[in-house]
Amino acid sequence: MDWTKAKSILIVALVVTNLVLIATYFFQDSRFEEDEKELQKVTIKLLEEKGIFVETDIPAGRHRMPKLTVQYDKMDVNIIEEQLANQKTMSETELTDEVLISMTKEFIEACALMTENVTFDKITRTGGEIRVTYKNYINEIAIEDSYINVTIKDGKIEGFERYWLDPVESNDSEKEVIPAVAALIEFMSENAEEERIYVKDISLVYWLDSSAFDAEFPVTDTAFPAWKITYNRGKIHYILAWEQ
Amino acid sequence: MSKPNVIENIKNISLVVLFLTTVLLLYFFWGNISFDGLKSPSVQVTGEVPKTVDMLRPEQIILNFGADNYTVVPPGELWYNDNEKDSFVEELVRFGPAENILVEEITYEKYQQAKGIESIWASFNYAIPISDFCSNFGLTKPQSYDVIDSVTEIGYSTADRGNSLFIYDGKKGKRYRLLAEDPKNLSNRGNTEFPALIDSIEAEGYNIYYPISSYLGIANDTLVPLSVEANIGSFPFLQDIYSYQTEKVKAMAEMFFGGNLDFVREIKEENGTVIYMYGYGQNVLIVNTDGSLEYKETQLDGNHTEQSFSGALETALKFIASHGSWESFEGAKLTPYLKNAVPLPNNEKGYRFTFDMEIDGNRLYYEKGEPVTVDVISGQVTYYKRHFIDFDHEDIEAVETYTAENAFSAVNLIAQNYRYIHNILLQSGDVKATADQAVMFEEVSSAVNNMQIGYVKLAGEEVTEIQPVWVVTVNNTEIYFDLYTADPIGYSK
Repeated sequence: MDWTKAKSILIVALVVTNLVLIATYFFQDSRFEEDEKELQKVTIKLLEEKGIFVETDIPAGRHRMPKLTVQYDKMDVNIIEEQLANQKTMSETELTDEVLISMTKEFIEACALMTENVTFDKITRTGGEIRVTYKNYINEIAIEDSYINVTIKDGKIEGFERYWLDPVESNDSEKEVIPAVAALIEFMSENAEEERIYVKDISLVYWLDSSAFDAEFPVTDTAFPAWKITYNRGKIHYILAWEQ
Repeated sequence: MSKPNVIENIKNISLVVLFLTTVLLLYFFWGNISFDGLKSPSVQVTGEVPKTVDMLRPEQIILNFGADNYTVVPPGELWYNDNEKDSFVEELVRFGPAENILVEEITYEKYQQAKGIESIWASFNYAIPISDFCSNFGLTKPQSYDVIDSVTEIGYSTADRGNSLFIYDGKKGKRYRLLAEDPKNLSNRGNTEFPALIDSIEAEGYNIYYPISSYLGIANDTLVPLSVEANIGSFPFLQDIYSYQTEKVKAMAEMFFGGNLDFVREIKEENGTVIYMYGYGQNVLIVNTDGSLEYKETQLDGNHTEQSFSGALETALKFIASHGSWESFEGAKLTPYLKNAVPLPNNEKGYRFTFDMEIDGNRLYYEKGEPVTVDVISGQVTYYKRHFIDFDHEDIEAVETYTAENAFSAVNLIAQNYRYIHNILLQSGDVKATADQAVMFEEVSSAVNNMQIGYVKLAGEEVTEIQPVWVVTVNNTEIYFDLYTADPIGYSK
């Protein structure tokens, strides 16, 4: 056998194969992008015909996500009370956003409740009361219904409220989530009353549907990827994002 | 190095680089394709499906040899067998010829008269529709049977010169006599050989049973044995599944949810209970800490198909075979039989089937619950509870090699424990409080419905042994006593 010739043929064959693969990959990607843009336009039009107005960007792209095992985390109330009792009072003028974030983070750390998932969300000032809210994020995806609320009054932390789900295990099997437009269409089909809807936000979250089953004393549970649709002044609707 | 060699080396390196590039490109290309698709589809493990006919077994067979001389035998092969052996069912098949069977409704008194003489009776805990009864046991069903709704008890009596069968329909509360051939032809009872069957049992030897009234002088026809020899003893057992056995629990869940397990929510409770839930609770599987499994499935919309008793039973048998099988997970074999079948309430077209188990011919009682309960509605299993045990059959075989011992006397058991039994009846409101011992004794003695030996699995997760017992059924309560000492050990309502 002429090995020199065989090698040359193999090299040519591999080069051609690679070129075809590269071309296909890029062509496919750009085709998907175009299709998705087209689909978004059509969906928005359809939604508007049904009285649903999307006032936010619709997330594009395809994602794969696992389901998430979460543990209901309990906190030691005694430690919280001890920390609350040891608060220093600050003047109202000192309580800038930076200071509030810093003092609440310190408090959470002092209570041994700070993890990498504790993520600052917002500060709400109502009358003389300030509320600093933290949410639970894993890989930049929020775990819904999991929060820390710290209340500051008269210059010191007066209240601490926490409902926390600790992610303990991601499922090995990741599945493709349905596109945001598909979630909006499902949302539309569930809007039986044909209420006029203004969608303010749509984002991927981990969601634990507490209405589906009422366990007595759950220790761990399963959160599924879901599209969280925020509409009409803070109303929220979840659409499971795994296609079954 | 010569020039050709350099070229060859470049080619070799290029080949390796190009090959690796191809692999890399293929990875990118397939990067979005889930490897889940390459997994072999979830295999639905189906165990052996028992035959419907083997499940339909009477609670007991009572033989009256005449002159108040009785015996009670467990159904076993005497009721039905595939072999050539004589059986009750075989004689029922021979009864006929079918086209000339007359059916007439009779009174309770006439029925009792037939029972009072030489006869053989098979009593079920439930009513089997007559058409299902005939089709399952291979009986020809003449048109004259149409007046009978179902069979709860069937018997042969030498009354009417032995050409009659008797049926009690517990569902309608009616009693019937089935008269073979022309009643004027007194010598003909078809080809049935019930008298020979009764004679053969008598000739083989039997445990004598008498009505309680004969022993205690209290009105009660319940038959109890004069004495019983038994070689059954305690043996250790394990729960079929422990909720902390993660892999086993998951394997079990796969039997219920198959390829959809990824979409199933798993909840673990503080006490160790594991819950699997699909969708918005359409399918829920609960693995309890006592080793039982409970599965609930929402009835499919628009499914209102009618299913016969046998059809529903077959659906249940197949479902159990493919959802955990009829053995323990580790392969411990028990003999199942249908203990009860109750039509579901609220016009739901289906049945609740309850199955019991036997170990080498001895019934296994559960202080709490049943081994298997299944609801079948319109051909769909909507509820399934399974509570098996695991054991080593060699432990039982070892006990069975012991010489048979006399079980505690049934009559003395009542005499020794009537206060204890009375107290249980008092708690359930079946009797009123009294200090009069004679009244207490009479109330208890007259309320005993059944006395049987068997095994019991007591409730409680700390229990590790199955025990041999006397089971005294009083009204709807089963009370368990040590088989050899008659010490009370528990009860079940």
